[in-house]
Amino acid sequence: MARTRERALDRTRELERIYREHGDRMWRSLLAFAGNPDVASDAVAEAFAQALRRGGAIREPERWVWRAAFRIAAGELKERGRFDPRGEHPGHDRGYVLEEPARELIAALRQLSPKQRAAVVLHHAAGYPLRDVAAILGSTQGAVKVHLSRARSRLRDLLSEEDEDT
Amino acid sequence: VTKLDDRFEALGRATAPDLWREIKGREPRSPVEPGPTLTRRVGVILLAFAIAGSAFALVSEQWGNDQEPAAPSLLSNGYLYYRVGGGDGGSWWQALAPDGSGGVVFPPDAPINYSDIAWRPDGRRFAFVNYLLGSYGIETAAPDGRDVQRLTDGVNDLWPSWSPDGSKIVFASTRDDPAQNQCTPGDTGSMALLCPTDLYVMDADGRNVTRLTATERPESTPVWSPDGSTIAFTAGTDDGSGTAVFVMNADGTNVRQVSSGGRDFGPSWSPDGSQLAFTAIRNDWGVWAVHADGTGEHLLVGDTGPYAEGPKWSPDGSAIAFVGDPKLVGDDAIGAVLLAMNTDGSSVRLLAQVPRYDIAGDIAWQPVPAGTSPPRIELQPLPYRAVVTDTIDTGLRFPEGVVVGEGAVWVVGSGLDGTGEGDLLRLNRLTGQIEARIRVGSVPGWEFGGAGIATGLGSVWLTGIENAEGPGCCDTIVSRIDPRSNSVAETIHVGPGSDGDVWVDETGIWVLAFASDKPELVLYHIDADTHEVVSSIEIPADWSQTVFDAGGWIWVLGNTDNSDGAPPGTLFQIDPNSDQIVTRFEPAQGASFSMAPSGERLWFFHDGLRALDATAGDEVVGPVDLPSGYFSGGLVADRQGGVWVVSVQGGAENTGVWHVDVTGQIDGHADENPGDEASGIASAFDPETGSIWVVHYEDTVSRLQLYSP
Repeated sequence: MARTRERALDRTRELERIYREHGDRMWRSLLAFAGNPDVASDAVAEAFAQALRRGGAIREPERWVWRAAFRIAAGELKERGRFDPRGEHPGHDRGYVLEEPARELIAALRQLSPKQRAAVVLHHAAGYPLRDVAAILGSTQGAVKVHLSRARSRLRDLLSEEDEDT
Repeated sequence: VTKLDDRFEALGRATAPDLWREIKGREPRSPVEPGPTLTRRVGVILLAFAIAGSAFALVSEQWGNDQEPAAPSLLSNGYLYYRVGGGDGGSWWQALAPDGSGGVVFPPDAPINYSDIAWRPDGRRFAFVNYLLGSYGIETAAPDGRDVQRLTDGVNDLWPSWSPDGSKIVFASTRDDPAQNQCTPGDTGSMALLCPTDLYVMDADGRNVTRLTATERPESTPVWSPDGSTIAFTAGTDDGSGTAVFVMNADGTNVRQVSSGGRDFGPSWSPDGSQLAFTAIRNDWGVWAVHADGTGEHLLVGDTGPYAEGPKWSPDGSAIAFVGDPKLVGDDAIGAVLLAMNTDGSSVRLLAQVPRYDIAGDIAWQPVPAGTSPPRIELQPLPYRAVVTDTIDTGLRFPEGVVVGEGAVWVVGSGLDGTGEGDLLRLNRLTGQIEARIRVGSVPGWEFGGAGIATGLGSVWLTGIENAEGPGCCDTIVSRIDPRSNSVAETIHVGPGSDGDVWVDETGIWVLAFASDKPELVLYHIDADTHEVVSSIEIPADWSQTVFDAGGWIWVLGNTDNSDGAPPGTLFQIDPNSDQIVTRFEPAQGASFSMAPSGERLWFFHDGLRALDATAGDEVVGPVDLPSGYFSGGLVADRQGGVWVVSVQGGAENTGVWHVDVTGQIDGHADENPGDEASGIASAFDPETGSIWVVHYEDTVSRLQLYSP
């Protein structure tokens, strides 16, 4: 019993460490993905709560939590049937501060497909390399590359700006 | 001009809330504990105290007579009452009218544990046992379940049966055995028969109780003969080895055994008083008949094959209703259904069925004067209900899609390793049990739309990609899974592009892919027989993940450039014969990611629930008058033109399941909250079991059982 409890504490500590390291970035990425701070908060909290309950059953908690959070947000968006209209001006009435360029970015992200949006957010906002984006999305690097390329091209059109395709 | 990277940097300066405290105190939404499982034949049996569960008949039909009564009866058949149950919840009584309509007598939210129903011979009142804790006893009620009157309060007052003139009621009781506690519900039939009851008779108002038997052995299930002279019942055999059907004079004298004995019980008189039908467990459960003098015992149905029990002779003498295995009518479903047969055991036919739940028995056929129709009984309507009956741990870390077809439920999910590999699970559509786990080299990645999985043409089809490691990307493939061998039977190399979705109809396999070289979609058409790509259709839209057929057309939901801030969407209508885009429909602008093709309708959300006519492309329905307020909904086609709307927002004011018919009328609503576990990322309807399968964002899949009137 003692050993089991010890392991559970270890896992809680590990998840808290992951939350401290990733939580803000994850929340901002989900804000960009969902366009809604409530959806972002709910998805982050639910993903970590799930991970806490599963304890040692999760082999790669960091990837697991990222993917779960995106799935939760994606499910929520689908449940709502459409992108939340409140996302049009994210941050204005929720007490979250968003600079104008970021707000425009989120508005443009709305016009991407969910997969493109997730790919670009995970790569550019969360900072994950293609390999990890593929793992989180259950896809392959090649497919992610296509979605990223298209997403950037479309964002460039939408935002009328330069995008040095790096 | 702001660079994209600068915008992401600006995003990175947004203030995120600290959620850790909430996380630690948060109760995760799912998975939930599995719901009650079906216990086959659980106490359907005989006494039927114990059975529980709740359900509605989804199937009912007129019982009709295809056989003339052996002798003219003085009675005709009125309403047929029966109890449904079979899980760990409540149960209730339903009624089936001669015209096939139905309703509820005692609803599921009424106190449960009523059993042992018996009609007064004039068909205007029935007696029953209230087995509710603290309310034990025999009661009577009007046909609509109202005007309940209590006759007795004995802890084991059971099995009332009226004398033919309606003046007296015979019943079983342990009232002269003060040490006897309530006979334990949940006993098997044979054990329940061991409750040490004796037989009593009382006036129909409950007065003047007289003891008929006073033996050590248990006597039970008394039924008064049509001429009033005798009473048939179940009792322990003299050697104590089992039970048999007995007959005695109405005053308790002249007891004689009429069935050969073993585990025989529950007699029912033929209206002419010449025969008794009863249940016997010999080789197996079966329905038997014997002449009242003990001669001519013969099997009617069951015993060596599918289960059958609980016979009740129809008032007109033409048929016997009973509870039995659906296999008796050629149905592989699990559970007990309400059946009828000719009195010689032939022509078994289905009267009522509740998928996944048992018809629990307590059958009682209302008698009405010959040649007349029963007075209309005001029954309560069968409400819609939606219950999560199973939650299955798939072992997939992130299931992506679900379809129903080719005899099973199929769930697909990819791994977390970035290789694109994954598993396809085959689930039993009745039990949810995982029957096969098939490793597939490349499965569809997560998406909102068609999920990259389809069934048809005798196979299961999955999109995937290969050659993903080169400078460009990639080639689309389709894996064909043979449901007979549960293995990947074929990999079709479709063409350049990354996977989007797949659909199968009689014209072939349709694969939607993201083109590699330009921001377009390609729809590949694969021949149904040769599995060769016969054409590729450029779709001028740069994202989509849904292809489906409806109204004889193939449809792709894609986007067009749209600067008004709404999620863009255009429906491309494609002729499956010429492989040409016929036209595009703008009404899909702003449409939700999921569209539900159902018969000739395409359902989608856009400022409310709307549908296009899939033949003409016009917007013909909507917005549907769903409840106002914040509404979240998943659309699940019923395949007959209508759609189920599943709304399960936790804590929201409008939650439940709505059914919208082909004309846009809401014709069903289940208030019962299907729960968070019914929300998810993909769903599929199984018309054969009336259930919706919902895949969640993590490793579970649930079955939402719908109960329709």
